[in-house]
Amino acid sequence: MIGNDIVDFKQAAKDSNWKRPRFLDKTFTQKEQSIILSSENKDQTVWLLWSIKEAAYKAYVREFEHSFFNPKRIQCQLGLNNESVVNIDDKIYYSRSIITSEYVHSTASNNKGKLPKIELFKLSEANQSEAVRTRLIKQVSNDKKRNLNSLKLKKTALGVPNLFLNNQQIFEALSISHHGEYGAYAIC
Amino acid sequence: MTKDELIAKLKTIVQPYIQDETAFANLSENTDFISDLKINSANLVDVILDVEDEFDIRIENDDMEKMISVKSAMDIINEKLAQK
Repeated sequence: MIGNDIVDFKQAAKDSNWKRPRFLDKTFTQKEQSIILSSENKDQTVWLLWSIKEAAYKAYVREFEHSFFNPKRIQCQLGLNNESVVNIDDKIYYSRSIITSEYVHSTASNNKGKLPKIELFKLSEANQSEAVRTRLIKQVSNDKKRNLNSLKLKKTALGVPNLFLNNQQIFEALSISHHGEYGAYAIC
Repeated sequence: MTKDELIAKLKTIVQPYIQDETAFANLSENTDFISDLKINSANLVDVILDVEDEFDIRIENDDMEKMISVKSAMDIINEKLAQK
């Protein structure tokens, strides 16, 4: 099971003020907070940890078909080379992140040896959610040499996306994300 | 506080963060913060903090975990107000 998440730093600065009282306490464990506060680029560390938590959470929701809102229950241990280990209760996820000056993107998988294939792109369209879906469908249509209209993206009641080719689900797992000017998807 | 007053207060709190105007206009007890109003999850933390400030209550993470819809938020707010 996999998940991915992207945070556009510019958009995050517009949307959220993580410095407001109690924000960090609601969101990060004591250990994560000390990593944030001792880091050189605190904004970047906040959104790195956030994106890792989101990616692992998406993998969890796909696996257990259960949603919850408690970012602190998702605990990150940052490792070398932007690889992290994430715990949600007794479940373990392995995450890998890409950090640039513009964004951070993280993927997570419950299988260490099976990190997903990622596509990451800049979006100029107003309807980003639609734009990411279109990109995904075009790419898969090209790869599999199938007609665009034979591919349909559907989401479960909990928002977990799956791609169908003539009503047959074609990937074991799929995860879509977009934020600000960036979009991404992960497939395995 | 009546149910309608509470919904009205919640509506004011979530307004800055919503990304689906239609779902917001039709907000009811059954509205989900993420799947209907499309509030991004980082902003859901802000919603919880704004609720705490507005009602002068504190919401522990175990309660926060359930606050994913208008109905569950109302239940938790009422519970906390009753404890005051």
